[in-house]
Amino acid sequence: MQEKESDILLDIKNLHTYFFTDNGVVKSVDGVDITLKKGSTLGIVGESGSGKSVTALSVMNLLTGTKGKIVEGNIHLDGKDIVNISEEEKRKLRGGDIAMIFQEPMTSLNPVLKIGDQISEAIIEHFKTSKKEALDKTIEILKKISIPRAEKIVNEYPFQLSGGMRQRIMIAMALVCNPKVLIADEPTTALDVTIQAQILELMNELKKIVGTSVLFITHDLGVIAEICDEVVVMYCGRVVESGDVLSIFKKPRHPYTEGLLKSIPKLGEHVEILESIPGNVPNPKYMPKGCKFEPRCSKSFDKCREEEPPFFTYSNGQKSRCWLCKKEYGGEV
Amino acid sequence: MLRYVIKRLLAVIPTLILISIFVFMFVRFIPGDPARRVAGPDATLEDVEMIRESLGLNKPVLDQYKDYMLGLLKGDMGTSLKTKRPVTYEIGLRYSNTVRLTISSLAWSVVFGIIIGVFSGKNRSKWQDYFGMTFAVSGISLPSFWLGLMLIQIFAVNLKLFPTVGADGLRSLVLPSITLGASVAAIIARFTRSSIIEIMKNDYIRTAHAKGLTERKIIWKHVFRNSMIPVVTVIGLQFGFLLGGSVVTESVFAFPGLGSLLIDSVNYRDYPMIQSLILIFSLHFVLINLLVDLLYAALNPEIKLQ
Amino acid sequence: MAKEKELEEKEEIRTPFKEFLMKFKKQKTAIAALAFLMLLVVFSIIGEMIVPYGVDEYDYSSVLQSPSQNHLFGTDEFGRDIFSRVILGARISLAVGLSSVTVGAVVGTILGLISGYYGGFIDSVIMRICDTLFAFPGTILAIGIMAILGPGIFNVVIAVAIFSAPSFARIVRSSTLSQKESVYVQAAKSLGASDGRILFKHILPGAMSEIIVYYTMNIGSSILTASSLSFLGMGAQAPSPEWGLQLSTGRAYVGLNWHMTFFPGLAIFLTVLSFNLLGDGLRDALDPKLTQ
Repeated sequence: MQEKESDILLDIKNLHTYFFTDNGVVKSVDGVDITLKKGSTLGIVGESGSGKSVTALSVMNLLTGTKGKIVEGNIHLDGKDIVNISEEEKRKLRGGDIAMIFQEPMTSLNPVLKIGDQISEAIIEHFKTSKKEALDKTIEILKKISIPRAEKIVNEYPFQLSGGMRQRIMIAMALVCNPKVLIADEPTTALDVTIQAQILELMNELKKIVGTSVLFITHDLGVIAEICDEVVVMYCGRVVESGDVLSIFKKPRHPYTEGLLKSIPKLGEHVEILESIPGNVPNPKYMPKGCKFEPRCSKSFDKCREEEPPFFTYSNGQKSRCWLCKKEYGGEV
Repeated sequence: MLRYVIKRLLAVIPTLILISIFVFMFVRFIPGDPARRVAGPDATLEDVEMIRESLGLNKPVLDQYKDYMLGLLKGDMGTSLKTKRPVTYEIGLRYSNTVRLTISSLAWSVVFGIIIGVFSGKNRSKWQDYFGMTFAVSGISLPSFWLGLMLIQIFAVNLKLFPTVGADGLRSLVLPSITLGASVAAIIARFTRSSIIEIMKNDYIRTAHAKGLTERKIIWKHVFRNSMIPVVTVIGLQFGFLLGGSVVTESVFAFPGLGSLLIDSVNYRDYPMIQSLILIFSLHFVLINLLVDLLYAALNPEIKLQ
Repeated sequence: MAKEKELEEKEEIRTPFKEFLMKFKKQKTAIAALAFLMLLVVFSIIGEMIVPYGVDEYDYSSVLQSPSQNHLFGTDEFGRDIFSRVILGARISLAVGLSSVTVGAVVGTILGLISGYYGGFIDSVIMRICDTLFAFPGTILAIGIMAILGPGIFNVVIAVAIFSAPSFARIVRSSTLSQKESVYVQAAKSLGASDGRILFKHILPGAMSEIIVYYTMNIGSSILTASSLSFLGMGAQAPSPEWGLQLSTGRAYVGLNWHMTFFPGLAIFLTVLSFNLLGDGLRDALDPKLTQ
């Protein structure tokens, strides 16, 4: 299934983001290709340390001030390069065309500024409106996402709101400038389950109303199932499998994805031992030579240790980086 | 907020009482016979007795304290042993000088210190930071009397830009305020810097970046306001330092303020004067700290809205 | 079941002390400061043996001379060589500065331990006294104490110790309070350890790092306060080569004789600066948050 050029909104190609610490170079993202289509929601799933957040920060260019840098690769938004441009242009994109929300709603809002002010300033920055106009727009969007007492809340401070409410404010703040892409980095992980459900429902609705394409980062496959159209699985800074949600969940083509799916207990099922993927994410200093997942893989064989597998593409668009795929295609291994 | 203010005001009262007790006990702490010490080594027995009488040392302690407190409430702090004029009169002559000196020192050191601190903090580990912090560590290591004398040497004697001594006019405030304020500016710079660095690590600063705000806006609207809250408290403490430092600075510049009065009194063993000056200094210190606490509460919305 | 593969990890074993040394070595300014201070210590010990002139060597034929080959720092109003006097002054200034803050630290620590551990009435009394002492600006308190005790460097040490002690008391008290309820203290108690033993063998070590940090922060200001008191005429008395005192006498000669005040003052500045840089370096090296 060929993807039409005009369908692709965000195109990340061969991204390498490394952190240069006193103890050595950490290759957080080591050759990642991700495409986000217009109007769709793409999930990025993986364990902590897989590089999913760093990918997001690379797209947003929020790496200044850290020891991280994009050393190779390219990112295009709507066909335009967003890596090799000036800092000023990057800043204009942030919050404008690309917005991001983070995991910790409790600490992501400035405690000494009013809510209305914090949302309005994004509008003022990107659209150069007056304070009054910005405030009107703020109240409008709060109402749009069904936040009660919008006129009162704009004059309140973050400490007066609950965690779920703060996350909703964060979403409003991100969407207020009608971004083309919204990156959500584990937005529900820090919230309890009922609030989580509300936030996800909100995001689903917004997809319909605002039409923003979403990059949803999480380690929770259940959330992926609920909200995403396509999914990308990351491990050790690389993509190991990608495809649309239904196909991946029905038939995963990579042992890691399989392991992740198996470790979710199903409602009504009696299990004595929860299945888990044995072992740990490898130490960045001692990466295996061949396939990075091999040490924890129950189906590996010699070739896996020697050479890192390339991507194998299936007819339904699913891609997997595993030598087992070659086996399935027929032929030697 | 009002409740907080009242609470703080009430908390200050026991401290004030204790200070008055300490200061009162002051003369009585002198090892040996206080009256004899005050009278000096050349005094006759009669002189000593006269001193004892005038200081009220021959009465029972509680009576003395009662007299003392009543006197304070009436505004009477005794008589200077040196000039024989009322203590309040002597203090009144010089009070405004010290106030002017302290305020001008505080003003420049706060402004200068904060600016240096902000530029150091936001450019952590770059040249602005090293420059700023070199200034800061030098500032707190400088003996103020040395700085003052050097300034006099260069600017007053050699360049003849400022007067060497005295308190006439604005010009005469310049060198003394620089001297007095130097270490305070340094401490404020250091503290502002670390406050800025701490605040910049916060998640909401990341949010501000994610919104695409300009660097300038992030620093001055988001980082600065939050950093200032702890800095305000430090400024209050530094005021105490200024009060103490004024003694040395006034001495160096022969500046006719309360500080130099204190030194003269100590050298002259004018105990009523010494006692009263110490009381005045601490009173101001306590009140300034109270004001700073209230200012802190006003800046912090969590306390303000309760 | 699933195969488990193990990767060999050969990591250097780094003890906390090694880590500390590594980080400390990176701070070049702190090392330089340490070198300077060692030099001062040497001066303090063998000062008399290395100086060209005596501390009280009057020479009326060469009064008030500017720095020259004979007299590196010039001479004072009695013809005494300032260079020699500055070097000989190191002993006093270091001794007074260090001993006053040390006495303050010891007294403050003991009070803090008692206050925190026993609580109740004794705690209130000690804390009230400390609060009151805090209400007096530092130098003012020191001057007040000197007014009571009279002049002399011994009294300076007492005065500076008294005004340093409350801060130490506070720090140690809060550390004691938080450690009091901890498991190892309860365990020691149940084993029948005496209070003294608990305080000194268990609680005190736990407060040590905070005490050391605060101590290093205060040496500089103690030296400054002590020399200020001498400058004001309340501390060291003539003919002592104490640096603050040298500035006090030199002050009358400001104008043509800048060297009389410049060099002793520079000595104070460099000493305090070195202590502060050293303190900063130590603190950065001890700070776990700065580990990568």
